[in-house]
Amino acid sequence: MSRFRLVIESSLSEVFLISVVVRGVCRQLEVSAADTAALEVCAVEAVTNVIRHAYLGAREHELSVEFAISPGRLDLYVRDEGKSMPDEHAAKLRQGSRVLGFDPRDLRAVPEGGMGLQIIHELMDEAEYSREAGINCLRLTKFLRASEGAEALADAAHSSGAHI
Amino acid sequence: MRFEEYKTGEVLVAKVLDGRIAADVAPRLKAHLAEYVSQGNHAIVLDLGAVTFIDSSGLGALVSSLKSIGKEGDLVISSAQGAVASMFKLTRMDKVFRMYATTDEAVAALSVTPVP
Repeated sequence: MSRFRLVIESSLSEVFLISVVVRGVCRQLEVSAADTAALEVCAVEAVTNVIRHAYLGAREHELSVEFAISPGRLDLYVRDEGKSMPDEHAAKLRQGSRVLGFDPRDLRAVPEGGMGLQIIHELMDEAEYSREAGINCLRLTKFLRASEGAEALADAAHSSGAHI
Repeated sequence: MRFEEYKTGEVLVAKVLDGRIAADVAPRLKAHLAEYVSQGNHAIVLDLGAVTFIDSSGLGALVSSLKSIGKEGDLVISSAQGAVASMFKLTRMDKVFRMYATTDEAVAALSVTPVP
């Protein structure tokens, strides 16, 4: 398994860095365009939630995204030391919610926010929140198809011995 | 945010030139669209052809703008593709916004639709 950690300031203007790294890793692992897009948007949603809700928009904090790359799967661990995620939000991650079940003909009922957790629920194969010793951790897991990840990772490790 | 704007008859076309619409720029997108309306534009095509990423905050800003425009006008989307089109579909916003494959089609549709 290869692991590395990206640390950014808790500022919305820094979130693009997460996109850049997710895209780069996925390109290296030959992850499909659809799975790359899913991982990118879920990582961005998770990090944006941390900045807005765990750190309440304050910029002076740090958060990290750890990438764990192993054959057949890619795990992202989003960690922060801010406020904990309310239980009902953690439940939405596991079970989903009705936020996208609106009637599109009734514009007033169409949500302007609160969609991030549902997007993660729908696009990730697993999403799990935990808090330990004051550290919040959201694990986002995508299982990669046979043509993705595993072979590219094995090839990269075999040919260069380098860690991503 | 950077936009390229031009008018075709009564229709304002605003092409987003940035590749990314996320939480950091969503308020600016919303403010920009509000400014178009305050300038008297009531038929707006937002061309997302150059956008490669949009998150829920970006979509929320568009929904908020659509609500603000209300019955005074129309805001439609053109040229969304790839991950952007997928996000509209995943969140069912493709049922909320009128979406067109090309800006020409969007302009044509708004040109024949009387705006109250």
